[in-house]
Amino acid sequence: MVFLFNIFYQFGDSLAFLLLAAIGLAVIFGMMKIINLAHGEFITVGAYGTVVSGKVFNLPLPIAMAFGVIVTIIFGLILEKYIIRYLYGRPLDSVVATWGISLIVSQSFLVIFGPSYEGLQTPMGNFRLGEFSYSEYRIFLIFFALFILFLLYYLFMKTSFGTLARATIENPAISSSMGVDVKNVYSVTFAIGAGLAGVTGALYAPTMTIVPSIGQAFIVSAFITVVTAGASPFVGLVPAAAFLGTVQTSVTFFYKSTFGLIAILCAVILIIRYLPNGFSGLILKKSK
Amino acid sequence: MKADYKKNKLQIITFVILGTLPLFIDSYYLDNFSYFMCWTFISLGLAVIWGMGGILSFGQTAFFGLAGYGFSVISINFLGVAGVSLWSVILALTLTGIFGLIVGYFLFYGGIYDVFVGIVTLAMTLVLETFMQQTAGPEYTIGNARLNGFNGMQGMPIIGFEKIPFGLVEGVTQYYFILILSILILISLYKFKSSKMGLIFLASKEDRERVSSLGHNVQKIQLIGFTIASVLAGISGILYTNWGSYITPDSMGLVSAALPVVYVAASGKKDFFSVFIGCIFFVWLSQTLAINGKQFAIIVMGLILVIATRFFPDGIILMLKNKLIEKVKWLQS
Amino acid sequence: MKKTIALLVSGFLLFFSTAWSAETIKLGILEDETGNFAIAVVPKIHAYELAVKEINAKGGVLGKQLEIVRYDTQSDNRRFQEFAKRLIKKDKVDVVFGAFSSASRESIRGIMEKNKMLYFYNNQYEGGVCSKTTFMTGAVPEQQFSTLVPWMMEKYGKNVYTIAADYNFGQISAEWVRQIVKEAGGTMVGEEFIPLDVSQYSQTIQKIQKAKPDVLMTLLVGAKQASFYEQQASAGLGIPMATSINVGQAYEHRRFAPPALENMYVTVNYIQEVHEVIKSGEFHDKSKDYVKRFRALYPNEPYINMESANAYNAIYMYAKAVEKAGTTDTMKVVTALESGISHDGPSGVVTMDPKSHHGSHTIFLVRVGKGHTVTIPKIWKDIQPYWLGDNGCDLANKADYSQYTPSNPPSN
Repeated sequence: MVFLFNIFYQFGDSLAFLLLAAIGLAVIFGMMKIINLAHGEFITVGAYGTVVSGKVFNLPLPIAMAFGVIVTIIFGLILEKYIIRYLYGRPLDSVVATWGISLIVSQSFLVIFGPSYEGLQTPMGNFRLGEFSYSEYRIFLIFFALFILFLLYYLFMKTSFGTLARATIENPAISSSMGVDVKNVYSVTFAIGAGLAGVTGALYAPTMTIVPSIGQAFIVSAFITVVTAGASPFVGLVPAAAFLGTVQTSVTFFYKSTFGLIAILCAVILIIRYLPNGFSGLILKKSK
Repeated sequence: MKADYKKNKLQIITFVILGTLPLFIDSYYLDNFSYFMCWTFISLGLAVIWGMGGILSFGQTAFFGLAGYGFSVISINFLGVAGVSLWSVILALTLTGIFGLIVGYFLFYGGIYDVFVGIVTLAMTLVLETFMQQTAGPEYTIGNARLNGFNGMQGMPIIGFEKIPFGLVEGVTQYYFILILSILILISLYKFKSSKMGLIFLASKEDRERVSSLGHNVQKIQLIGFTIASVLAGISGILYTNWGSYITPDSMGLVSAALPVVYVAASGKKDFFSVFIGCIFFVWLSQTLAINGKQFAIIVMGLILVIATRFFPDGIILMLKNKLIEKVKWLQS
Repeated sequence: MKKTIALLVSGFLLFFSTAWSAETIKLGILEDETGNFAIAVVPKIHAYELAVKEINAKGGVLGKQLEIVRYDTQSDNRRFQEFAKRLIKKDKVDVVFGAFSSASRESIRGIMEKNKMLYFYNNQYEGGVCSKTTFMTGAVPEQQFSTLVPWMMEKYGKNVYTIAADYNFGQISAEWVRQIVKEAGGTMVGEEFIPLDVSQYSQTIQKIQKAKPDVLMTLLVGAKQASFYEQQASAGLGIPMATSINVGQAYEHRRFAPPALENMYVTVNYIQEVHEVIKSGEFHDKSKDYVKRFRALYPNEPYINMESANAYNAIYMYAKAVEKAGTTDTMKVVTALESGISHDGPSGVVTMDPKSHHGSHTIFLVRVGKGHTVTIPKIWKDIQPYWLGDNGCDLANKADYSQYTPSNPPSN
């Protein structure tokens, strides 16, 4: 029993990390095709928004987290308006611009807040099962990650806004001719992506060291999860993260974490080669 | 030939200036300039696959590192045999080329396109970095050469001949070695671009399927382009290793993988000469900013990149080059 | 007209200042003022400046003032190489101080040796560098682990588990721990190496719980890996931890919310709390005096760490050696340093070992307790860097330019 729970805990923890790392990027890269190398910095903004507001205004953690997410949304809207807007349809150029943004943001945080900021304590407590103990907050993260993914799936796949957004991004010219305010749809979708990255930052802020490079811990996981998820990210994210999480935890369990990291990178290479449409391609093909 | 001369006045003038540079600057600046030029080859390689073929690769740094390590391992093992380092260069480049061929085969014959090439090559680079970082232990020794993990390898011999005056690739010799190499490579790249194969490669960027339906083997040409790029990245890797007698897994990380992409895009990926100049310029700029800009250096660098892509989508150096040729009538005819 | 005069005056000033600067001794400094390591490095930079100011105020060395030429290496090995060459070839400095990570040290050590440049590395590190022109003022494993590990085993039990960063520093330090645990009759119940990029530790924490160690050695490096502490606290791991790097460098006990680091033991050769914890005597006075002088110059320094003391000692040792050699000529200064130069610094006397070019140290055992309050349960005086010397590194008599490890000693 304890053994099974341990497997759930370890696997779930890794699943939650991959999912939460990927959600913002799933919108910005998966849907909008912006290769956002500044994704990590969006997460940084969310994390700092949470921690700084929590410290300075002495806010309770959930409110500080909400504050962090709002800050990231505003940050995303500004970036979209002045820079990203000009990069739609130029995915490869977006590499350079977002790399530039990433340099500016992480270094600005260093200048403003110094090399490190005092962290928050992880909320909730821990409980024991036999010789093992577990952090309640990390179990909360697993469920929260799944919940937020369900919300996203619902938003983009089931609501009229979602259909509109997907259609517009698929073919802006036709949507525009049909009277859709293309610019607006893009901004809102981008802001959602940024906000989701902010959620990730806010959720992980109390569990990590608060440094200007905090978001960079997520970027590689984010890209590989979104790519493994495939063309329809909201369908593919959960199986993708589940697959990668399994590969990583089992290799780490039997070998060491270095090879766990190498293993998921190799898994991604093989997935792209043999499942070019990712897990969502596999699922959608089967359901047809 | 004469037409070539007329068409390429700007290039010729630039190289004449570069050729006389050692007369005007002291040994430190010359050495530093050689360092800037080390980075041009990896960028030119990227200009081949990305600028010509439209394939974005983050794998250039993997080939850079591989060649650097290959050169170090080979030359350390045959230390003391005269002229061996020149052979290690050739051997290391051959290995890099073969590796490039294998990766390219996997990519293009495996039907991997567009952004996915970028992701696969990035994953490959990070695998190499992660693996190399943990090779500090004595079990990771090839012959006499310890890979030495994260801390990197050092103590490889300088390329060249010890007995001949100016025979070692350092100081002035290093400068001219790199300069001549860049001239030769630039000429070859222009030849490649105007060759039949080059034209097909260029066309494949616009419409892969149509070029393919015309009976051209697109995959083969993409593979050739990718391999050329990998060897060019290897040249940079070896020259960098030689310049500082040092190579680390760092040179295969996420940051190092993004740098050539950034240099090439900001310079103008469609024009080799702009990439060559732009690369030197941006490496110089980032160093100068680090010396003078203090903590704002990185912010300024980021701003330049953002502004460059936002306002000059074809690259800032290419734009300047075109402006210059437009203004100075003499350069046109 | 005014402009011309101003120009002339500034021209003269420039002329004289350059003429005057020929009479200075130039100290090149390469440290990471920005980037990942900045947090632990900035106090070092300030310590160099403090020492130079003090020496200059007393008339300099050999009647010359000391002048710092410093570049920000941005925690980037390439910058280290670029600026190392710049210091040597353009600025023509007499000595170079610097580097935080071992990788950055290795990236420039070759350049220093090739150019016969005297080089001081002033950082706690994995040990083993045996190089004729390089001097190390930081603590090494035989000083930090041969004290810490047996003490921990005696207090908590003989089963030890190590988690370490999966690169040179972590691997070599873990090798030391393994060896010392074995010598002290203990058992390694587990060992895990973790890549620098990992920031999530649930799996690691469960592995540790399964092995039930009495002591957990945490040889983790960098901000990402530091997340382990918060995560182990929130999971309620509750095993006493011991390390050689946290607290003393990047003051995690002040930056992290308690109880992340509760019940952690560290061996350091200095931290700013020394005089707050030890109420009287030699160590109290010296530390108090150092902090007072440091704060007078840099009142806003968040923390005065152990590497600052190493940097400070390095400048003084160099100054003493130059004074003794009567010149800044590299090989003559090396010989002077090999004559057993010592300096009475922030934590007592540090003496340079002629054989290995490493400094001896006072080692403080620091315990981080409830609410992250610091206590010092034990002090070891005058701990020697014996390992290299015992194993055949004898730089005073035999030039060498290598780095050795316990599994690859110089005697091989």
